[in-house]
Amino acid sequence: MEIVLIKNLKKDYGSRLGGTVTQALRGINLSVEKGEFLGVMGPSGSGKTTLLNCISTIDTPTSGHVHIGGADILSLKGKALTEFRRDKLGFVFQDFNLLDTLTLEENILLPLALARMPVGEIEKRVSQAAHDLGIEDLLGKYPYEVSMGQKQRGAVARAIVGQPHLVLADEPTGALDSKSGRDVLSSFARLNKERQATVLMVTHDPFAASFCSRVVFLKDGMLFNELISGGERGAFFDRIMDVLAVMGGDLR
Amino acid sequence: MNMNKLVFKNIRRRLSEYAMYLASSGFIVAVFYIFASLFYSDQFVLLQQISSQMRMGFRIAAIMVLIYGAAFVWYSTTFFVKNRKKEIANYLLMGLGKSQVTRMLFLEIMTVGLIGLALGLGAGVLFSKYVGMLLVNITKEIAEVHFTLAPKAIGISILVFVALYLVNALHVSSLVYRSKLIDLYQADKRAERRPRGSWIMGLLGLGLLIYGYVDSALLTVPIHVNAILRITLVVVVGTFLTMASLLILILRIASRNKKAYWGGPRLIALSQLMYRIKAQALTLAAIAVLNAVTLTAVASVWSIYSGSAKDARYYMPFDITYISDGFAGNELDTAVDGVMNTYEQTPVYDVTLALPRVRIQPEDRKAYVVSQRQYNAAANAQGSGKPVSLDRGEAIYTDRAYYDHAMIEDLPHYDTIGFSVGEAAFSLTVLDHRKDRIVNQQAVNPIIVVSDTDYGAIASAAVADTLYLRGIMLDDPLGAEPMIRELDQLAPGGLHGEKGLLEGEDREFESYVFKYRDEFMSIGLFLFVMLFHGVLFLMALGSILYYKQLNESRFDAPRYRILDRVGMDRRDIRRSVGQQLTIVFGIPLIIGITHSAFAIRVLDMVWPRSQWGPYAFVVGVYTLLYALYYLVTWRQYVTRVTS
Repeated sequence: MEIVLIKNLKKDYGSRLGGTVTQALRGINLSVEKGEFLGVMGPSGSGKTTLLNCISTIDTPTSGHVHIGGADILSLKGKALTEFRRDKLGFVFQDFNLLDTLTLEENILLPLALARMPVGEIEKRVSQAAHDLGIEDLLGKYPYEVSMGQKQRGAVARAIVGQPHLVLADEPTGALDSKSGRDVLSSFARLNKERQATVLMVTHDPFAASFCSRVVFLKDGMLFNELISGGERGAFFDRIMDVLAVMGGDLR
Repeated sequence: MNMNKLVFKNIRRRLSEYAMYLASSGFIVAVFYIFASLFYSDQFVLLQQISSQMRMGFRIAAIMVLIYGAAFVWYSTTFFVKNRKKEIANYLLMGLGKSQVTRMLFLEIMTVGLIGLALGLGAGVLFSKYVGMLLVNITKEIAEVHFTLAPKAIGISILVFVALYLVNALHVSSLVYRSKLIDLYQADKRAERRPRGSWIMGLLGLGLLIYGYVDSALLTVPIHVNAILRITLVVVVGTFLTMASLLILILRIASRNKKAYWGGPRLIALSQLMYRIKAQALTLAAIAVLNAVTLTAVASVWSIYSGSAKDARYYMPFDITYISDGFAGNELDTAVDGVMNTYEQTPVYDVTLALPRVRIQPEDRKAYVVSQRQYNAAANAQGSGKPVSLDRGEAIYTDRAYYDHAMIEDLPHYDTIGFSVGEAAFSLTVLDHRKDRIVNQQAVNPIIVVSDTDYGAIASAAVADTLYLRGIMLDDPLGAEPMIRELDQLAPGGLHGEKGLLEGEDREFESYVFKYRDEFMSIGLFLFVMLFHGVLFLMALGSILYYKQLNESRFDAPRYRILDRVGMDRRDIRRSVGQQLTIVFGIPLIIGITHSAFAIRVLDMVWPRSQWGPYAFVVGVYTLLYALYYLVTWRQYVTRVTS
């Protein structure tokens, strides 16, 4: 079953005032199956962040369609859009975006509280999410009291606690050292396997990408290539490196 | 770009931030100018009632405005600069010399100060006519108010406020000059821990508050100043301790109630509050206390003022009254009639009361006796008091003490009253004790109302010892003021000496009109000054809360950005900010109202009239104005965290 279906997605920048038009996305077609862990790679300026923003409803494309869980997200407005973002999408950011005034537990339950979920249900879901990410013992702690990797796992728990259709991760390991990065990626992979969470991760890091089940490569606003993992991470990593070598350019 | 341009650009960019400050400091200048111009004004010199004492009142009022104006300006500018430490550090890093940055800041503060001064003076001059009209209206004076410029007042306002801003700007600049770069950069670092709050301190604070309240509730007349001071001190200390600890504890307990706490935006509001309440506790406590002071002061003056006419009537039930010689056609009465004829005034009621002087036994207290017939007729003409109907042997005891009851420790109470007149003695059953009076202040002693039969007996025993009091009621006493003033020239003692008068009796010519004028002039002036001070306090407190909260919004902006990403919509953001600000604005107001209510209760005991009506009115108006600050802050806060 397709969770995300993107058809002929285009995004132009800078045309409004008659200056030069930059085509950030030039007709992307992409679908993400339920339970997939999709990586999006590409050099800087390739449009991967624009793609993520269009999917996450933060930005609106110039033309094309984006369907998530069967809903046409471009037709959503105002309150419906906020609710869609809150209930159907989960976000993981490079800089965690945890509230320093809240404990990890409170941070995790935030989307549920904002959705006015009953307390019993909130507790059940939070403890499940905390268990899945191995941070049960850290729930009472404040973000400044835990390590970077633990912060990011808290953020991942917040992203999945609402059981969204899709988790969007923007360079989730960008601010982490390699050990913490590996922890976070493993949790993603495990969530993906055990809970059939659908994850779309933008990254420039081939090591991070090797945890994915599939990786697409963007170049100059178009899909350049696509790799599917054979299940063995080492081999997948090598194949990703090969594609990157062909693409060339600065990876950031 | 040179320095001056940078200064102006800075001010222009921060105009919205400075707006509230300009409004408040401008108002302070305007009020100062108004009091100063009243002090110097030639316009009011003509009014005979504006005595030099009242001029001094304006002077003191102006000086007080200056004192808290200075405190407000000092607090606000220090606050502005603290908020901009990072910006200042950036200038220093960019290579601007410390002296240059200091000079820039100095120029900026001076410029903003001068803009406020110009705005305030402009408003003061522009509205001085209306303020004059307000003054005349409040004091019930009869005067024409013209627009006048008071150059002396303008001069002194400029002098005083330029000096104030200069000192202030120097102080703030020196803060920058002495600071180290690293301190400037770390200015935004703050405690990251949610404060725990101390139960001991919190309970101690609550204990002090309760003690103060109970202590004040148990106060009985007569009230000692010491008790008031003790209670005030206890309550103020209690407020600070409670705010510093108990509030945190309450918030913590509230956050344990998951059902309430986890219900939407409240989670954000409560956690943000807990996070920062400690840094704000002292300000909030101070604002609570100042709210209480303002409310109590304004409400009590308003209450006295709104009862002025009644007070004047109570103390002076007759429009015109004087101690007469009793027999028909005496010199003084003839002279008075002559004056009234000249002014073509016909009394609506004209009586000469014959009040036998008696001594209540066994205390040997002086008192007067009046017949039921005379009493009812006078009370009816004065439009006060219920008519009495007495049988032989019955009496009604009337005493001013029941009106000013706080002044007297033991209010007299009689079942039967015995009194002596010369050699004779009488004993009557007292049916009622009343505060109603039918005579003016010349005769302060209690008056015993008796049946006409008894009165006959008493009067014949007191032939040699009777007070004759002529009382006149006019159609329009205030309109007859010129005549009354001329009558006043006839007495006292002009026509006869003090012979035959007892202690507590006074030859003075007395009139309701004089009392009315006195009351409204003195209390009205007091109210006038109090109103401006009250509004000024409110503005200062409102602005301080406003700035304190907007400063917090800087730290909240990134948090709300995160919340936006997590799926918090604008309505929830508005709600969460609203909840947060409701507590920050509401708690000092509620505490202030509670404190002042206890203070008013004490006043209520010593005052003849109920204080609660006027108090409720003042609280209502104050809350309304206070709410305006809340709403403006809310709006701006939301704009800042969402943009």
